[in-house]
Amino acid sequence: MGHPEAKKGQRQELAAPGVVQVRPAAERSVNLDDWTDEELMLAFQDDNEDAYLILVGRYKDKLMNFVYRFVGSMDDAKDILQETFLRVYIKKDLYKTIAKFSTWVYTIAGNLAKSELRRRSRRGKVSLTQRGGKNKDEDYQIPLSDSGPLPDRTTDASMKYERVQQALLQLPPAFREAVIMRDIQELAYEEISAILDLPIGTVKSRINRGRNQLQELLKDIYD
Amino acid sequence: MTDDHHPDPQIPDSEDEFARLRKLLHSLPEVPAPDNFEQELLRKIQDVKKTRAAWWKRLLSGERMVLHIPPIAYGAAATVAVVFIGYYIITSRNVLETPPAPPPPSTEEVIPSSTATPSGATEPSREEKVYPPAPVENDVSSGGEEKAGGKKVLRIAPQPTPAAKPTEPKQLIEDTKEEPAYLFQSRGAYGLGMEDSLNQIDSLMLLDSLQNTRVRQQSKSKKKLPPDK
Repeated sequence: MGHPEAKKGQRQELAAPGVVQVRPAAERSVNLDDWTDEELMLAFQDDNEDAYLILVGRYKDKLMNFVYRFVGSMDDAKDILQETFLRVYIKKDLYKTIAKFSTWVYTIAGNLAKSELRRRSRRGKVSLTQRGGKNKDEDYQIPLSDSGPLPDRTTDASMKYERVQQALLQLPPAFREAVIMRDIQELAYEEISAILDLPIGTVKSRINRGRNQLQELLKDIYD
Repeated sequence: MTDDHHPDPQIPDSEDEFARLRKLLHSLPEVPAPDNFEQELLRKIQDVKKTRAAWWKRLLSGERMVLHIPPIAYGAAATVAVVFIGYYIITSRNVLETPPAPPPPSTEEVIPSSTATPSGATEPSREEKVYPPAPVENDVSSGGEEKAGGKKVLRIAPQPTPAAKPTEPKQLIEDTKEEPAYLFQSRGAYGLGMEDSLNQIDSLMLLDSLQNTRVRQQSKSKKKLPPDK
């Protein structure tokens, strides 16, 4: 745990995000594909639905991968992804260019995924809830994956990937989310920090602890 | 954005330590969105738009909205209504029990505002406890008098007079000592409204016994003294 003042300083750093550069409309190319995410979002706020579709095309696979790795179910991941883009559509006016579009959309998807996990635990769908960690970050659940075949179960090599996925699902959600964002989605620490609304030190700590647990779970794969 | 910045030196940067793990995680195949994802999304968006538009159209056109209220809601509403009605009845009954505003304290006699307790100590009368003193036009605290319509009218002195003063009302005070027990019981059993009513009854009884005493004394004095001419 860092010094309180240092923590406060980090919070302030979070509270003052960098201004996203948006070119004036005259300087933008006619082709919407060349526009940045933020420019597309501004165009969408002016009721340009083509801009919205381009954003969906840019982020649907990244977000699907993130959500699937986090919840471990294709059906749930698909629903969460649809709900994420539906919210982007409905709540487009809530987006401000003080934050990156990717940060905003990952925050929405992450929150929906966490809500889904909570809903599952309330319904009793997840019976393997384990507790006993030192803090709430270490309380973790083991979500059950779909009964159908996983996308990467088709070959022998993919058995290893399934093992990794199962190991990921055994991590506490707070660690799992950070590890997926960093090591699978390859997001920068600063962006993860903004998405999770946490100081960078906390983000690094969670990633570190998540990796440690994952390495322990996947020990036999290395041998 | 760089990842080199590390605000907390206590936490080691574990990129190298977990290089193999990171490589393994990075090698996981990407799970793409379904092929028909955009079509499904657009269909969902259209549904949401239609639902919203239909709602507004119905509202603006004044069409009667058919609400599907579950039966339990009716039960809950009825329960709430019964509770409110019951509360209203109880409250209004309490209002009826409270006495009306006290009569103006003007009388032809001076009534001391203090009564003696059975132990002999003085305590403020009930009138003083319950009713605020009437607006005093003349200072009558020391037995002041006021002329009203050619008659002498004495007002009740609001301040307690010493119990040692041997006047007619002392007899009355002694009478109040023998207040029936049921009155005390009933006071204990009922609320403030009942107590106020009893205060009024006490006042009336006080006046009544005052008149009786005067009549008795007048009849005694008539027997002893020759009639005035």
